[in-house]
Amino acid sequence: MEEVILALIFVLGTPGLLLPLIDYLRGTRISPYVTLLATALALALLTTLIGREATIFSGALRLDPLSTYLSLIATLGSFLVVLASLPQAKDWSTSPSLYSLILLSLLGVYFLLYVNDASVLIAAWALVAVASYVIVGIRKDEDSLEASVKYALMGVLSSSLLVFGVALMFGVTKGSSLSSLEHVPPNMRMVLFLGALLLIAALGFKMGVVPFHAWLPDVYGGAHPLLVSFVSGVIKLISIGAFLRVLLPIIQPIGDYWVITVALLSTLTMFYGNLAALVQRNVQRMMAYSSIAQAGYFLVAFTALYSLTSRELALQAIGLQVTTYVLAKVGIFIGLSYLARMGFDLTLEGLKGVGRTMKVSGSMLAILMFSLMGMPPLIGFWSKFMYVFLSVMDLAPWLALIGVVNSGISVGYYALVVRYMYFANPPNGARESLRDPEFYVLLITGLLTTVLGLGLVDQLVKILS
Amino acid sequence: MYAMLTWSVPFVGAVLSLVLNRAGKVRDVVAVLAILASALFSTLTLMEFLSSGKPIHVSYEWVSSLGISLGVYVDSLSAYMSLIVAWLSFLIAAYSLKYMEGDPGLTRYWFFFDFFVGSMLLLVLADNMIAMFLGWEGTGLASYALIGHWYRDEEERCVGDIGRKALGVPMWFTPSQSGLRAIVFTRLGDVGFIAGIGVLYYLSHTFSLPAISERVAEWSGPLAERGLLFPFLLIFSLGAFAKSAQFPFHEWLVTAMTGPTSVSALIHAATMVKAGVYFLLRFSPIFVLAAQEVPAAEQQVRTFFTAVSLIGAFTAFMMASQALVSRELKLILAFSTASQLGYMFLAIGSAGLIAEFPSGFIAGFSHLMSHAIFKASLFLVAGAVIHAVHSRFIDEMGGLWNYMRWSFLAMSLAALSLMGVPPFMGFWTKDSVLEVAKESGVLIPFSLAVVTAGLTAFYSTRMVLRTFVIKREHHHEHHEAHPLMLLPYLALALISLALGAAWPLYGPELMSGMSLSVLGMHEHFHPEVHLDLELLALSLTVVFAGILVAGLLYLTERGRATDLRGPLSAIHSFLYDRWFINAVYYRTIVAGFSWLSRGVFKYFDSAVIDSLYHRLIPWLISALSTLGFKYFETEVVDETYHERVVRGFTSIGSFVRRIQTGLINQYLAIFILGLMLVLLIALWVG
Repeated sequence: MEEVILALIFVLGTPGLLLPLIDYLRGTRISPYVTLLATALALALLTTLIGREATIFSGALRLDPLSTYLSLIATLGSFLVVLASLPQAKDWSTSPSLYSLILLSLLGVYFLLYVNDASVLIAAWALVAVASYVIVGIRKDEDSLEASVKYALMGVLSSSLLVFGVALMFGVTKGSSLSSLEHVPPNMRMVLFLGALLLIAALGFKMGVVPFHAWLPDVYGGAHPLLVSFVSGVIKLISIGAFLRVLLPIIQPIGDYWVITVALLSTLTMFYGNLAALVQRNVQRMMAYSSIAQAGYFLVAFTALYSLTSRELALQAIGLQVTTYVLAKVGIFIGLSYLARMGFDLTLEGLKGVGRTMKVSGSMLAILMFSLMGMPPLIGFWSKFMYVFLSVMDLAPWLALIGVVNSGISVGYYALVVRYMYFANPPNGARESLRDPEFYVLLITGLLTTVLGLGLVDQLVKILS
Repeated sequence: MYAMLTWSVPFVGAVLSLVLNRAGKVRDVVAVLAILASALFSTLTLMEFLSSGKPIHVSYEWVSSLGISLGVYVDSLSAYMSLIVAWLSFLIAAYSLKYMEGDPGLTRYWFFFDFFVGSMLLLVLADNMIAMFLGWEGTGLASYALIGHWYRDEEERCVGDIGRKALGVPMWFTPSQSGLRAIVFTRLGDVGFIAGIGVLYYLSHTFSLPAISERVAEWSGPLAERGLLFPFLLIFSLGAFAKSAQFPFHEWLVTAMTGPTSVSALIHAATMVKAGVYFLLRFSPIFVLAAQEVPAAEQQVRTFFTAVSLIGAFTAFMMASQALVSRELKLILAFSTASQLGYMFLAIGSAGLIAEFPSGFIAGFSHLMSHAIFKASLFLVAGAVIHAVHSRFIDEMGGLWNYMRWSFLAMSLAALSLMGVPPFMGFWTKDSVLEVAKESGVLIPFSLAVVTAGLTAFYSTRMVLRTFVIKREHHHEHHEAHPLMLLPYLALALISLALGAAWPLYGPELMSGMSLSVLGMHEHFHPEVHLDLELLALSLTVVFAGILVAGLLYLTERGRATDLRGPLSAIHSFLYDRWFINAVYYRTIVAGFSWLSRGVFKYFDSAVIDSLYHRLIPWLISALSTLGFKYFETEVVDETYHERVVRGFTSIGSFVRRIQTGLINQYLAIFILGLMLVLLIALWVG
């Protein structure tokens, strides 16, 4: 298995380091295609790891089925983003760096999902974090720069909290391996909790958990939607991976504090995200707030991890919710970038009647919105209602109820977008074309959302547990 | 096996209509044939069920880790229900072949039409709550699309008087608004439904309907002991109240009239709104079982059924009163549907209060079926009339019986059935509802129901007279509807008459078939047609009084709202503006919600950040630059350097301004303060 990981490093790392050199020096533009190939190859390599469990590289990394599954989803997401970027990014002067950063940060995402050692955690976190700040600002226009600087400043704060939290936690255990976290002296509970809280803040920052969310609307709402699709769809997975690897072992020692803290943050995040999304007129910004709300749903499942009886269900819930989330967010942001490229204004008014002229793309966008809303039988219904909310029923039924109420609120804005897209006279001009890669990305994400929901949920659960 | 096909074939039809996007007529016919096939399968299912007399339960594993199956459970309730849904949908589909001819959005229409029918059948036949919920949401989604079918929002597609306001809230709705209202209103109730499913699963560890019925003590016991059973039942049934447009959720149904008339017929007759009644029919035997098995539950279950009967009777009365004054043909019918649904809720609610539950159950169920038949007919006639006159207002109709005799016949027959005039089917079923309500011994719902019978007779007579009979000046020649449109509604009206006329002969047999074996209902039931003479006299008096008053008023031209003065005019506008309920909703709930979300948004993102940004940063910069000038002016008097410093500061200022429109230090402060706060709360609570 070590050789698969080495192969992954080679497949993603080599082009990641070399591509900008080649493209900038020789003036060619081969990086998009090489990146596409590399991610496809990584996808294939990862499938060989499905269902495997092992500790490798003398304990630095640990494989398990859930992490492999999340890596697969992340790779799929990156593949789709690169595919969608083909017609646009070629024109950007900085695009070779973009592809290099995508490849390197994807590698970092793998490390964070497989992490088993504190040093790997910090190194991989830094790799992905720095890459993501640059990705946001890569277009060098005003909005992107503003978003990027904000993101970076906030990121520095959160990364330092991460390091501090890690220091506290591993100071208690006196080891650097994450598996040492399972044996904590009971009298150190408070210190452990403090460390965990700092980590929750740091990871919550990346996920967009209220009150660590402030950067998110500006970044997701201000940067180019294509870049946002990568940042929100793929990079966000690092915090979920780190949550599972670093915090999962110490949930039991922390005890009740875990439930209180995470449930509180989850409630805040769901309400804030959904309520703020209701008043947005800019769809990209609305989707940014919807990302915050989705982070709240993740926290519901994280709360459920406390109960040993429902832990398995909660882990499956996280896996499925990631599937829903990545498919929907990558699809929606790429869809928005497609629409922007076709000359639409990304406000509700601007999207009037889009579904009428761009029939397939429009209906796929609607499907993705409905999936986020939790409309059966799409994958979003299963992951949210049947796994996430169900998993917390034993521990805190009231949190499940809050979640259900929140998904009721969210209908308000998702249905509003669909309404504007469909119930209006079609705009003139823009037509979708079979030559647009974004079209295929929407088709893939939309169909996967439907097909997985229609009957493959069970198979997914088998892969990820 | 047939039952699986019954619900899946329409979905296949839906997909085929997408595939045959460009095939024009072929696509339409294929979509209709899929529903015909489904109707035939539903007939076979019923025959299969009747021949054995035992429930058929077929189930395939779907999500094994959660124990969710995809299966069908055929008992008399689902067998008869799917029969009526499938056949009515077929007739309506055949009608829309002509009615919708030439519409530009036909692929969409047929896709959602078949999807709608399939979802409804899935909901009816499902053997577990998840599959049921799938169908439930499917009908919601499809109705959203179909109600908003004419998305261009032309004025003639709207509902309500353009420009009319009540309490400052607009009272007219465009199709796209109405679609949104339908989905938001019904989703409100669905939150209760899904929460209820969650609670049931939590307590009994199953989603399966037969298992829920078997383990009734397991889930009702703990709830009843804590006194939570009544609230639970209410929340669980919230979805049913919303779907069936019962007060306070009735508003969406009214505005749902913006859809094509065939869609209104589909929603009102067979699908969607009947789903709520079906839900109660499905679960009320189980609730009654809970009351029998768990002593602590009895009182709470009774309270629940009382609430259902009260809400039902109130809705019946309120909506009938609004139908009295409406000027739009389809709106009258919509009010009437909600009112009749109230009757069904009343029947089921009363059923739970009387000794012989099955008789109330049958009253509700048979009224559902008879209403489905005559209401489908009425809507389809209305569609033909609106088509012919090009107006939705009854003021612009009248005198049509000369031109559309068959349609006139159909509407009169169906309206007589709606009024409950013997020997139409509506008479028998409505009377049995009244009988059950009387037996339950609760006075208010019963008296509301009797008054409603009179109102129903009044508005139905008014509708027929003003549409077809009373002459209006200057109108043009109109043609009878196309046979493909005419036949379905005429047939339905005649069926309603024939079934009613033959009711004393076959009624008992049909009713015993309908209660042969219902999930959770164990008592044996021997129905018979009997008439409570006292009640009969009362209801017939009321009905004929209603007809008489309406006849006198409208045949003599005294019933024009324009002549009203004083208190009568106030009552008129109270009824016409739908008891101001819509306006109150907008003023309180909608305004409240938008106030809340705006507040949250403002506080976090705009107000604080903006004010600090515009003061703090400029002040800092200007203070710094003043200092700088002082220093450089006294020490180095160098023109170029001087200029550079100025430019430098200005550019720093503008740079900061550029990157900080959202004020990053504010963000960081929120971050840190939030962290502290969470820590404090966790320590305090823990």
